[in-house]
Amino acid sequence: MIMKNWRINTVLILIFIFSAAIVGRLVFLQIINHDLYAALARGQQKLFFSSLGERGEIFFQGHSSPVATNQQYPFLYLSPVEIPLEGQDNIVQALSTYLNMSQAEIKEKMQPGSLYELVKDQLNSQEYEVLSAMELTGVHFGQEDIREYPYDDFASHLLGFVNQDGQGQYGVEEYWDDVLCGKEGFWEGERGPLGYFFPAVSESETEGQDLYLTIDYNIQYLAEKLLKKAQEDLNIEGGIILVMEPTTGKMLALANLPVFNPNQYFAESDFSVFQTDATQKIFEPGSVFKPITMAAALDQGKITPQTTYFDQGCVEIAGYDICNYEERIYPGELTMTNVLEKSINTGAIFAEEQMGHKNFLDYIGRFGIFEKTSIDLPGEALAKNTEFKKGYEINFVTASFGQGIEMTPIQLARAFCAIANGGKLVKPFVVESTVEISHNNIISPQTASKLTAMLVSVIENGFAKAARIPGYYVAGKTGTAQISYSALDINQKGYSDKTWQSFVGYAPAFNPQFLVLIKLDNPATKTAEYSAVPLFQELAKYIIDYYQIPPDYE
Amino acid sequence: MFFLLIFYIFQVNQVTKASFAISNYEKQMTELSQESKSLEMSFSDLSSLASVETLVSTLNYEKVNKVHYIQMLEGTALAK
Repeated sequence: MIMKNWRINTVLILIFIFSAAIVGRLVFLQIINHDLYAALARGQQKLFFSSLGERGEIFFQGHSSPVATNQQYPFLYLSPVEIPLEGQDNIVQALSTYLNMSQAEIKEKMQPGSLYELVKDQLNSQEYEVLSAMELTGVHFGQEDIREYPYDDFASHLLGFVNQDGQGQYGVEEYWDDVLCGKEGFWEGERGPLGYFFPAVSESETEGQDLYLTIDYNIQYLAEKLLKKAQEDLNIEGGIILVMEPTTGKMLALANLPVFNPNQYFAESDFSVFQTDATQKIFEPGSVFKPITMAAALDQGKITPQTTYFDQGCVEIAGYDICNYEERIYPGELTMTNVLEKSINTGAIFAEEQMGHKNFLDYIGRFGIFEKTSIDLPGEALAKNTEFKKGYEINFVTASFGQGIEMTPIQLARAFCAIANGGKLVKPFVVESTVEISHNNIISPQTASKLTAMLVSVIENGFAKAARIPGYYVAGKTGTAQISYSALDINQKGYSDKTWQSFVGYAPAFNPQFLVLIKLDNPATKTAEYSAVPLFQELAKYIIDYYQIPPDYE
Repeated sequence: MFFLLIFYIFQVNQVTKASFAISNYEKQMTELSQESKSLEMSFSDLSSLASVETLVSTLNYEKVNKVHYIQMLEGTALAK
């Protein structure tokens, strides 16, 4: 009996000890080390990763397709450590055949011991399908996001490009990079049985914002086409066409030549091709600046459109003879309107002298020539005009007809907007936003109106007759300026034989809907009358029909 | 106990099926999204003014030289 109880007790004690061991272990796992094992379990069941959201697309007005978008392309890489020696020849043969690469190039990638060797990026669908179906050992595919510009070189300067690090460079891509670029998002997913994942959720919105530009696709297209035509017909070295809404500063087109393909930006060796001439390169405007001089003198009340003077062909200033174009002499009594019509340098000097140098300088400042326009594009240039600001009489005199004073085309266009819109200085912009319009007039509405009438007379009676559009009053002014050696990066004083030929015009003159600035670099014509003016006429006629603007007169 | 075991196996089976379906749908979504992007690119190309110009040049259209606008007098309206 005692023996029997002893056996039962032993079994019970063993059961107790075993149970205690299990309970002890459970206490150790579930209570003492609870946090550690809970974290380990989460690590096995959940998945955390971060990724960069897609970059925003860019759109133009009047066109539903994006002008800058994103596309996923497969790329092929090798993992040489995985490739058996006997399989190398087979892979080299297959890749060279389907990727159109030499066998030597592929063999170079077979670095022994290497885990990753990129062979080719941006594979086309045929390359990807054929090679992925072959399931070659050690040959892998990945996906990469590529910024794509569907229209290649269209509006390239305006758009810029995205570099390999995903950063916007030049144009809208650079200025609006913070808005466009995708944000880094942290994702949390759950790993299910057999390795399948439940959908991951991001903690925040990661996609970049789309940008809607004020640029009109149709106007931009025609502007670029006209520049390319001028390159063929007039042999221009470069040029810009800029179209804007004079009442708001809204940019409608910004065409630049020469162009580049942002999809292949790395193929360019000269980085200056990426710069936008309209905002990043300064020039001497020439006679197209005369209306600014006239506006200042008119606004001061020192002249009227009917004020007269007698032209002598040249004016002597500080020992220098300042003459008209080709030293022409215009006989008889000339009005200030005649001065603009025939673009007479001595007439612009006369107007400047009437108001005085100090007032002239003040008005140039008012027209925004000494400050940036703050357009929403990167790297806007500002001319120092050091020589001009020294205050020598000769500099003021030449500046009155646009020589010896420098500015960017966008500054000149903005100054003309003030004449077109009744005297208000606008801020140009390319991305739709709240329009900032100054309430201060830089010239009075009366002055602006008188000057517009004078500029209409330039088109009707002057050198810019080719800009006429039947049924519409068009205001405008031509300019032909010699290019200084310094602007051509030649270390020499004075001016070369090359010219900048330009035209600024707006229509309908007394209720302007658009303003066009055209600047051509060294065309094979003598003056802007035969180069920039016909381009303006074609573009302005198109915009009038496109906007369905009713005529001013029958 | 036996019932709970059966129920657990059933649950795991259902979750596995659902996860597999989700994974498949996600793959399909990626493929469709890529296809859609490719089609968008083709559409962009075909709808570009350069393509339209090429097409129009083959149709022998005549260029509009003058647009006539009909003038409507302000405040003039007819009602019957």
